[in-house]
Amino acid sequence: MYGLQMDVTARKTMEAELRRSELYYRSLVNDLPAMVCRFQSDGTLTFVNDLYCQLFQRTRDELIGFNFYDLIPPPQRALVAEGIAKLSPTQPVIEHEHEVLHPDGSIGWQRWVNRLLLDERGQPVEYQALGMDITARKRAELERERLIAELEARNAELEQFTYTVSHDLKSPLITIKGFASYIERDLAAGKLERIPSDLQRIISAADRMYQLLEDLLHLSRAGRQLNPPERIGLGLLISEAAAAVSGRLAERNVYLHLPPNLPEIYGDRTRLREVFQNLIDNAAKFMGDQPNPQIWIEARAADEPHFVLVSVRDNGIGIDPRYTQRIFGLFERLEQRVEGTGIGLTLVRRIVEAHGGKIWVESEGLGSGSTFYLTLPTALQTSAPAERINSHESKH
Amino acid sequence: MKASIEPAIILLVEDNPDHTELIIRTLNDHRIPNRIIHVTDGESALDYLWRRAQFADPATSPQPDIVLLDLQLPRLSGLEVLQEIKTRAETRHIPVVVVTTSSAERDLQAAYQRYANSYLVKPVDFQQFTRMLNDLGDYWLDWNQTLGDRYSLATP
Repeated sequence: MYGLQMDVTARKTMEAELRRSELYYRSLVNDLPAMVCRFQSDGTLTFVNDLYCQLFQRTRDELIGFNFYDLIPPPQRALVAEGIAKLSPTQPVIEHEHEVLHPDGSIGWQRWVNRLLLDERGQPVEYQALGMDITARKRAELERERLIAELEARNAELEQFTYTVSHDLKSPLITIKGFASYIERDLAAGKLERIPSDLQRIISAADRMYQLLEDLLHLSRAGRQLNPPERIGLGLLISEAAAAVSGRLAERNVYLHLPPNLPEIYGDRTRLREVFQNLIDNAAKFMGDQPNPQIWIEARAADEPHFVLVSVRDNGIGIDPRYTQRIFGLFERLEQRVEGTGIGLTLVRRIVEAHGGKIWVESEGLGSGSTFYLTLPTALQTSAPAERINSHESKH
Repeated sequence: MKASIEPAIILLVEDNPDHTELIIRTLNDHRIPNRIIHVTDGESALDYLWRRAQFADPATSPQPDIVLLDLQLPRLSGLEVLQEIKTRAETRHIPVVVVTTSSAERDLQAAYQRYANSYLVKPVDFQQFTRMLNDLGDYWLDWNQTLGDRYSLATP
């Protein structure tokens, strides 16, 4: 009698302890500022806490029996499954970070601690996972990496710029000082014959220096100050650009093929006109002795979404494939006989890149013409490229 | 010092016409008689050295005693020309003196890595400019002994 009484009391105490432990566990799981879930090896959820429901904006009823892999973007699923497959009685815990699909369709980041739950005999029962939303941190990290990369690119650009400028501005100075010294000497000796031509060299060198400085200023402005972006008909823009260089086109008798129905693009009208002006002028300048000089403009969708790929093809002298990179460099000139400081294509590249686009040139080599390709934001999606341009502008 | 009365042959690779004129005037005044062959780009420099195209005749295109090489050239750069000269067994013995406006570390390194024999930075000051070229003439055209066209005898 007494013994039975003892048993009942002990059991009641044990049950009370169990209930209390259950209460501790439930309140902990629900109040924890983390997502908690349990799932089977195929990913079927068997338990989720409130925060889990909140973050994925689904009810508990919807989630139980649901496969959580459906909440992960397909390219990341294998990575997560691989991590979970590694769990074993000897390695019961693994942590990893991966992308998730937010209810609004955006991509977020979560950090998870996955544990293999084992019963008292050490046999796997199911999996438990504790997760935190780290989207804000991850975005900050990605933004930081993007900024570092941008900064490094700018630094490299600046270094290249300083290098080129110091060389190109020093050159005319050597000329000026050299010929001024000869004039001084010749005057003292009373030899006047070559003074006029030496003076002319000095004047030209000073003019060239002035032109270099003007070009540099122009280039620096073109990359930094973009006007507010607008929708621009590409056809009209190219017509305007061609009109601005009509002198050169007429002088070389160049025929410009401009197809109808060119798409709308989105960006700084003045700068983009300058891009096409330079490309058309360039094509006309390097026609060589082509008896029937022509330029063809074409446009189609680029590989990158919301960008259009525009090509400017000519049947001029072409470019040795070895120099297709160098021609975009500051003050680089492949043909010393053709006028110019060598700023045009540098300027073009800078403007295109400021619009988030790319530019490159292809040529079969000398004598087979060349094709410049550039990608520019289309007017279809107005928000993304606009933000890019504006944020670019505000950083300076 | 050389006993020869033959003028020293200088191959000047320089695309800037004003700098070319300054270099030629200064070297023409040098006490060592010299003949300057001037080309304005890297391709022509290599054509000359390998006696191609218009430079095929050894009588009119003798092997130079020295190459004065600018680095900033249109198309084929000075460094590429230097590399070609120093890679080929027929030309690598020819002294190549880089004469440039660039004092950038990376150009110096790149030039010496490609076995430039000397590296000179054009001074902006004209007195120094002429002094540098006069010293260059003294050293490379007078004191320095080159193989010149006798190189063919020396090839193993």
